[in-house]
Amino acid sequence: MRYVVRRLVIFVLTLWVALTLNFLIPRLMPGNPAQAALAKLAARGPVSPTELHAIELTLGLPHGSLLSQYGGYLVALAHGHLGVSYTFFPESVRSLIAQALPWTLGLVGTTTVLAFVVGTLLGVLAAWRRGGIIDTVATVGSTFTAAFPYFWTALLALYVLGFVLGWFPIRGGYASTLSPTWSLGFIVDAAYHAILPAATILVSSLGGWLLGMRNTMIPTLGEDYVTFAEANGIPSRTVALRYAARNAILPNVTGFGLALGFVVSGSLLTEVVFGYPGVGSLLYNAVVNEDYPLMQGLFLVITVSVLVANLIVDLLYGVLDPRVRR
Amino acid sequence: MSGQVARWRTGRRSRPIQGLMVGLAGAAVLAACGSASTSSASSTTKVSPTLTIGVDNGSPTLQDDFNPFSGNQRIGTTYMYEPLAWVNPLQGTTVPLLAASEHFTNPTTLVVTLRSGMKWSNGAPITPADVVFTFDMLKQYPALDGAGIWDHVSSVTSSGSTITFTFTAPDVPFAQSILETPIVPKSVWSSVSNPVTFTNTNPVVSGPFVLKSFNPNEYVLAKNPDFWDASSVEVKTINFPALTGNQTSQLTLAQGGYDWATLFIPDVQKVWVAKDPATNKYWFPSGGEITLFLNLAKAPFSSVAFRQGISAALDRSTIATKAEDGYVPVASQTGLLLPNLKQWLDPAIPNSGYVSYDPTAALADFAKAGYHLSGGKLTGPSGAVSMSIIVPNGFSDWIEAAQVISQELAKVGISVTLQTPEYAAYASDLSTGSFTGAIGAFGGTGNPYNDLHGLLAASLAAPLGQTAASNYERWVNPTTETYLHALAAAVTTSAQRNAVYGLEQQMVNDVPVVVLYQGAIWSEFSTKNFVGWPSAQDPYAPPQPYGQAPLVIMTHLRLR
Repeated sequence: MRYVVRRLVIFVLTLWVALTLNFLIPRLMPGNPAQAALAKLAARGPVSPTELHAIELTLGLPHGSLLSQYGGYLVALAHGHLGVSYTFFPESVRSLIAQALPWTLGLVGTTTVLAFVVGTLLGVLAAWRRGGIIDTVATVGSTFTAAFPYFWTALLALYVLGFVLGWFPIRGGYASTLSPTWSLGFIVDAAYHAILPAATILVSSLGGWLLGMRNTMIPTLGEDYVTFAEANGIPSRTVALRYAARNAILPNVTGFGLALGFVVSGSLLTEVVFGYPGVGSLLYNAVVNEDYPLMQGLFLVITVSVLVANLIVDLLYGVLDPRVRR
Repeated sequence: MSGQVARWRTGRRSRPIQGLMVGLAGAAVLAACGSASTSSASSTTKVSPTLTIGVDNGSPTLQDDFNPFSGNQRIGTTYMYEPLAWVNPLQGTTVPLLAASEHFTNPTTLVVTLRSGMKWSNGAPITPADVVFTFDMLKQYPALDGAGIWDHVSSVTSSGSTITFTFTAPDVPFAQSILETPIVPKSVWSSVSNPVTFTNTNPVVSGPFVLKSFNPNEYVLAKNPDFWDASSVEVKTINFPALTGNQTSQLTLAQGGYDWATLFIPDVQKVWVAKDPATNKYWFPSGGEITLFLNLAKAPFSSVAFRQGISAALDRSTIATKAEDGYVPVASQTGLLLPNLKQWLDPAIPNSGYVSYDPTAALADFAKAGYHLSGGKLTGPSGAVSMSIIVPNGFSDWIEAAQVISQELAKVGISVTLQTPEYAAYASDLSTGSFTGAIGAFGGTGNPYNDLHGLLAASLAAPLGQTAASNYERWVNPTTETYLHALAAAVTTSAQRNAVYGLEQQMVNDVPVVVLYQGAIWSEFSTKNFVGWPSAQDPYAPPQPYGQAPLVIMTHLRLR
């Protein structure tokens, strides 16, 4: 029980620090959001000097001391208000995040789980048949794909499979003629649009799980109890999965817990390259346009989900491994 | 890199990712040569009355906002809301839209007469009351008044079919800002509780198109049968798919996915035209002037002779060619966009104000200012001269220009460091004067007063550390003020001409800024379905799918 309380206190403290940094960091950036908004207009043609004033009036830029802004920020957060986005004015930050989150959870969530399951299983297989053909292909192959810069893989897939061969759409989360609904047609179309981005994430992240699993699995296979199980004539699949893999998987589970927390932040490069309407694209736009409220809203959601994932992993560890409870 | 499409001021290309895509797109062209028959077959297919325009950035999806006063309005908004009139920046001519005519009765009174018999898209008549209401709304909500109308105007009244604007001081050239203000129906907007946050998802409009459908990936406009000039509109529908980035936009254009786009494409001939030379066209006219701003409040740039030296030390044609892939001409030091505004060019200015590259003359100019080359370094009273040039991050063509400039200045002994802050930081440095050199742009309004007023007026400058509105170089000169005031009050062409000539001579002789080359409007379009696009032979509008130019272009396009 003391262990749980201690974890919770640390959680609350970290949360407060994160919230404060979340408030401070955007305000340390040079320039101001009205000037960033002006940049968008300036790209469309000459802007009159009075435009900046009008934009400042429209956005209602924060004024007052930093301390009073901080107080206002904490109060608004407590009420669940994330404010109004500057970039997408007058859209509220909450509705923007609510629109983007399902896409990211769908795409990045699914691929994270898939990469973990497939990567770990392949890792088990590679370690069990180490030195064999599967091990050689999987290990060398995943070292190879993990070494590619992600955007390169993504652009190559986009260009070859999307543009040259025309098998997949090259942009967006769904066809431009459709509106987001829960109809079968839309879901099929959205899944079709997700194939290319999902495949590129899988290719680049599979290797990490595979190598991690293989490398912890190999020493485990040398343990006495594995040799004992084999000597007793237990079927090799049972030995591999129930005896060796079950013990070797712990570090991968920790990694998986954290990865799930980071799912919410989206996959920035994927979403930017494929124009995917998720949190990553939103974050990119928020930063480029100095959109304080949107940045704060996004970082808040991301920080909280990472912290919560961390807390859950911590609490689970307490259950799984009695030693950490001391 | 996100949704930023290259517009008139800059081609934002070649962050590493895009640089790669450009290479790939080149390969696409090579690969496509073998199967050219598929694209040429398109000329026999049926002509479609639909235009697909690749211009509106989704970030990555589109927000439903058709408020004509919002900075975040959808591009299609200006295809629906008309102003009283529009000025063609390529020729400086005024095209009446809602107005039948407009004229100044004296330098402080502008009288506009509306066309008769016009209707809003909901069938209600368009009356002078709508115009007065629109301007009153801008007065009530300064956040909507981006042009600063109510800094110049004291009242807007109507009687019969005319509307009278009374100015606080003579300011004839400001008429352009008034005439180009979009007019909205009083019946709809008077019940809007806050027009600043109003997203106007169901626009009632006067122009050639109405909103047909909207979804976050694409919106569609349809021809407005109630438009006063509806018989001139042959485009039945316009699709605006969301753009999601330069990479994918270029690929989509190359695939024939857009009828009209505004992208900076290195080697447009290969990537776009060669795909179907019969129909794939482009025209990149000038839309502004790319300029080296020098901070006149700091030595040695406060010296005229020194600035002339810098001007002579720059080979503008090399800068323009390297920065913009040879798409744009060099600019005249007069500050006039030529040949668009050639009717304003002072014939007494040698070589039309084009400065020739002459490093020897540059060194002579520097000597006059008290700076001499010693040991490869230009040295003056306070040691060797060095400067920095700021360019917004990601504006890779401007960065390229600044790199050429620093090489050329190195040849006359000035060491230049290049800084590329994010745009917001760049804008803040410019306006507060915390820079020595900067690449920027000005002009392109089609009116020499508006172009030069923003650049040179003392009221738009500020001491170092305070925010200057647009006179970033901080040029404060009594002669300039005299010319600007004379120009503001001038209603006859000859009086206007005298003042403009005076300003041009100051630009050439005193070099308040170093004008480099003309900034292009990027425009690629297809004649597969529609002809009648603006061209160098018939520059009735800049070929840009954003802003108010499409209102005029849409009445010129003809089905093929």
